[in-house]
Parts: sequence; C-alpha cells; structure tokens
Amino acid sequence: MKISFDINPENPETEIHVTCPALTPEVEKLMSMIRVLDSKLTVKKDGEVFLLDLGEILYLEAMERKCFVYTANAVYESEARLYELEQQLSASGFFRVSKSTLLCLKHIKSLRTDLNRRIRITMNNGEQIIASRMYADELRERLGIK
Amino acid sequence: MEKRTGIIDKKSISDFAYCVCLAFTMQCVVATIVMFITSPFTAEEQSRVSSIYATPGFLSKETILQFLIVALVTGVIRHIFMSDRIVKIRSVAARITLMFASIIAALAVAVWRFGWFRAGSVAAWLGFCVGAIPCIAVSFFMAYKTESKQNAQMNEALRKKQEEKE
Repeated sequence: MKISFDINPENPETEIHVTCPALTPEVEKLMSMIRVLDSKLTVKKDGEVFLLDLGEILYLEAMERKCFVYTANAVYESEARLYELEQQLSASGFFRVSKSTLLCLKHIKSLRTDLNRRIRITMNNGEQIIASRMYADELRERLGIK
Repeated sequence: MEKRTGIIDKKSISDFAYCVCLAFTMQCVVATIVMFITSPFTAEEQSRVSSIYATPGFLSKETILQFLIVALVTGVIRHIFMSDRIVKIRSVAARITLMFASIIAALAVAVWRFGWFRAGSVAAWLGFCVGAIPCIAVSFFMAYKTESKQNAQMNEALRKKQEEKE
C-alpha cells in the first residue's frame, strides 16, 4: 500500500482520498478506521452497510469469530476484530469488561457488585452485562475506587 | 442474530473439590481439637454425649465418612448459591445469607441423622441455634453493609466519570 501526504497550508481542510483498484477487505478496514476518527463505525446488517454514530453504540461483543455491535434498537455486525475496535474506540469512552465485550461508559446506568469480585453492569436500555473479575478490577481502577 | 444477555463465568470442578476438602478438613480438625481439649474432663462420658466421640482418642471411620458427606453437601449448597447457574438472586448479601442458612439446615439434618448429639435434647438444640442464628445474622449484616457501600461508591464514581466525559 502506497501512502502519500500533501501537506500544504493552502489546503482548506483535511481531506482523505483513497485510490484503489477494488474494494478489498483491507481497504474496507482502512475506511472503517478512518471513519472512527469521524465518530462513525462501518457496520453491516442484512447485507447492507451502515455508518453508525459512535454515540449510538451501547456495547460490542465478539462471538464465534464475529463481532456484533449493539445499539438501543438493533444489532449490527462489524468486519473488524474486537481488539482492533478496542484500539480504535478507546479514545471514545469504550473499554473492555470481559474477554468478549467492549462497552461505552456513557451508556452505563448503574453498577452493582457481583459474586467473585465481578461487577454487574446495567446499561441504559436495561440490559445487563457482567464484567469478569480481571476487567472488573480494571473498571474499579478506571473509576478511581481502587 | 441471537442476542446474548449475560456472561456466566464457569465454575470449575477444582473449585468444588477445594470447597469440599476445606469443609472436610475443618470438621476433622475442629472435632479432633474438641476431643483432645475435653477428654481429660469428660473421660468416657464423651462417647455417650455424641457419636462423633464414640471411639475415645481418635475419630472413627463412620465419623470421618459422615464429615465427608456433610462436606460434599456443603460443596453442593455453595455451588447452588454461588455458581450463578441455579440461584440467580442479584444481591450478594441475600445469597450469602441463604447459603449459610441452607448449610446450617443441612448440619441440623446431619446432627439428627448421625446422632452428633441427642436429637431429643432441647438444651442441645438450643445451643445449636444460639451458635447458628448469630452466625447467619452477622454474615448477612456484614455482606449487606459491604455490598451497599461498594455499590454506592461505584455508582458515585461512575456519575463523576460520565460528567467528566460530557
């Protein structure tokens, strides 16, 4: 992949122009990463591609080699791996709560201690997610209570 | 697309084995210590009071087997209340209290079934209750206070963090 920059003070705004022979998975991934900077995530649902606002995402879950993106009303699928999404979304308030789940801090309604030092997380839509022991400790640290 | 609404940590067999071994060892150690402490004062009277001390000087095979049965039952009760598979009560304090109450009920059955003390003796049962009830009450109180404090602390920290992000 060739990467070139045209840094010129006369350019009115930052513009990304991708030139490619076909829309390969690699190019799709690149586009997805660029869109995260624009607070958007490329997802699919029933074969259709959507640009999802990061603010709408409650949590993401990896299951059977697929990554599902949950909003209040729908479930989408992402081409990216969970660890890639974790890297891309960490600056937007997303963090890991278990080996397979990433969630958005601003959509948490309440937290409750659970057995074995785990944390039961209630999301704004009423769904409950368990933060496993290791990640629960990280969450406590993140909240400044450890 | 199937939506999953919870992740349950799997309890391993080793956890169950650890719980059973711990309960079994505790019973053997406590019974042996009690036997050694009280035997100089009670002599052969011990064997009349409890089947645990039927053989002066050491625990009989029957008693050890009974302790093992009780330890297994304790392990099963712990699994029922703590594994998140059978009992799904959200409050940790409630779970701990119910678990202790169930273990004490199982112990009462063991006392009656194995003749650990005379089943007809009101004083003995009263002593058992005097030991058991405060144990349940204290465990509930401690668990409830700790849980409430931790929940309040976490939710306050969460609100602050969410405000910071906004």
